[in-house]
Amino acid sequence: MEKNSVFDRYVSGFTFLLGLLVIIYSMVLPKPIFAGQMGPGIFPTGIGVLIVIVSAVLFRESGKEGRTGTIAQPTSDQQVTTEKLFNRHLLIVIVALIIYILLFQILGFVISSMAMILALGWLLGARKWIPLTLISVLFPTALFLLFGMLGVELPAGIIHF
Amino acid sequence: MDIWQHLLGGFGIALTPMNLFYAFIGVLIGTMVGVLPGIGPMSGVALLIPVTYNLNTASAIILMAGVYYGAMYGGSTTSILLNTPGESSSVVTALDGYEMAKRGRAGSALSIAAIGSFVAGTFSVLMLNLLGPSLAKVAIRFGPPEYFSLMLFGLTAVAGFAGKSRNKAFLSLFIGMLISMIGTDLVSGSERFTFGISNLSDGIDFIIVSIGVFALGEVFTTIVEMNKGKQTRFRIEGKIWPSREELRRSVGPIARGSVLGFFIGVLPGAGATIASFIAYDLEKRISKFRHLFGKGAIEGVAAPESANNGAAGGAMVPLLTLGVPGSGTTAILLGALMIHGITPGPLLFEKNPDVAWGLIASMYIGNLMLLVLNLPLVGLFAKIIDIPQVYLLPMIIIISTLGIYGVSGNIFGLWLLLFFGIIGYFMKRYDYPGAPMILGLVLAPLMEQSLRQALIMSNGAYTIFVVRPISLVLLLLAAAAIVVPLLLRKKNGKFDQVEKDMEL
Repeated sequence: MEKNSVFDRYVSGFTFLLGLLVIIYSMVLPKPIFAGQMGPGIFPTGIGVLIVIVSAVLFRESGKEGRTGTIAQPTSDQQVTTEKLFNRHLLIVIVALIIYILLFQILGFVISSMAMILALGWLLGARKWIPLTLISVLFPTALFLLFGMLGVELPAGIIHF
Repeated sequence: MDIWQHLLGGFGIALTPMNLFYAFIGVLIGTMVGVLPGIGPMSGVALLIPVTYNLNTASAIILMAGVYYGAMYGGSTTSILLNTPGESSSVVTALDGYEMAKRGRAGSALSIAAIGSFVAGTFSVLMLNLLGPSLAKVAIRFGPPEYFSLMLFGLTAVAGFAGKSRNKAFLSLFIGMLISMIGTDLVSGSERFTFGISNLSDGIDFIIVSIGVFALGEVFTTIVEMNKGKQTRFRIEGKIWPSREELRRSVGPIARGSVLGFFIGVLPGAGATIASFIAYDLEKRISKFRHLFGKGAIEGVAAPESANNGAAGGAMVPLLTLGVPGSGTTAILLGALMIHGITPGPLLFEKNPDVAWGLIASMYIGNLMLLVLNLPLVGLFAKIIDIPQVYLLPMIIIISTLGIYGVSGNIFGLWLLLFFGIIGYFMKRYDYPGAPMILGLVLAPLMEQSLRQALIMSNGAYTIFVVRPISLVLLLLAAAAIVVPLLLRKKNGKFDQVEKDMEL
């Protein structure tokens, strides 16, 4: 529980500064050409002010919780996550996504997606090769054809249909 | 023309083979989305937006709305069989539904859930059908000041109800509004918050944020929690059809749940999840069988399952008649309609009767399809949950990236997607609700536009918002939406249990 409020403190501190920067940035946006017209900076300034206010309140709130430990307990125990914030699986997925995005245009949607499902499935612990291979081949192909029919353009990469 | 003639025209559109097909696909995907715990109606609808890009508007909205109300049906299946709610709106169903399954009455619980969902779904479409056009007639007199105040009320109400901490909900809302400011301001032509990055000059598409925060964020959360112990699963034994006694006992809860759900759904802020909790609570107080609650009372399944469907239908009322969504999922539907060049609102019934009435007619048909799908095939849908996560998660990732690439057409969109996915993961872990962010993102540009128009009307005087009576009332409601939950919270902590991760 303690960790939650520490996180909230960082977040609210960050958004407080963000809000201030938004206000300053919006002030220097150009003024409207005609009098009475609302300039581009008015609305963002308002948003910035609101962010600053709510961040300040959240900062105070999280400080209180951190000291007294009175944060409301989650009521249904199935929702309590005891896992660490980052584990091996999550890092694998994020790295896989980065590689996938990098290869997306070079290899094309179909091939990079096949590789993605195959590699990610294996890394996450799938060991039944037949269903894994079938899904990784059929699923991207089916999506490619479906989107093709719907007229959405995708990078074909090195295969051209 | 009266509404029935319009409705007939709507059926003319909804009953074309193409639209019947889209309604069917919509409710089918909706049921699956409902069954799968990792993916909710918001991600389901958001993931479909890119797919429906090139469809005509009526078909697109028929498909996406089908996912929304279809998810309300599917949510109960895993609540009852597995004690793992597929959606937050079916959390309360598990209390008695799982108990019924333990006692070998899974079949009756599932069929009562389907019947209740059908009755409530049909009731709420009927109400939408009856009330929608007259509400639109009132709203047609709304000018920019009224719209601004209305949207303000909608936003405060949603953030006011959402989440464990209202401050986190408000922060999420304001950050969403801020994200919507990125890009070129169409009136003055000046770029805002782009910092010279040309990819940002068109702004950040709300689909990227929705899919990132919801679909990808959910994938990341599921992956971290993967390989947890499995719960005992109950098979559907014997007949599915409930006994006459069970049916009789369900009539009252279904009727009350439907009405309650609908009206709660119409209000901004209180979505399907709150509706299901309130309906359950009501039955627990007034039922003759209240001593059986928590031990497998059929009322405890009938009432919340009716209420969440009623609420899903009710939430369509402000979306279609006012153009102001009261929940995260309807905000995504609003964004989807705007992509198709349609701004929902009072003029929708006049200008785009094919969309408005086609949708309403398709909802009657969709609910019927769902009843048929869910009664005999419920066992089949329950099997969806057997698909191992190791296959499912990469597939959701692929659909997400594919959708975003289809929308943005460049790799920059994919990097943003990853960024918002990670943000969404942190938000989920630390109880920052995502729905207000999407709502702010979709509504802020509309609010700015109304504000501008209102200030032109008044020559720059902000008093215009308080001298016009309707606008003043809406502003007072907005103030009440901030103050009332504070008072409620002090009185009883009842909402606390609902608030953990609401589908708004």
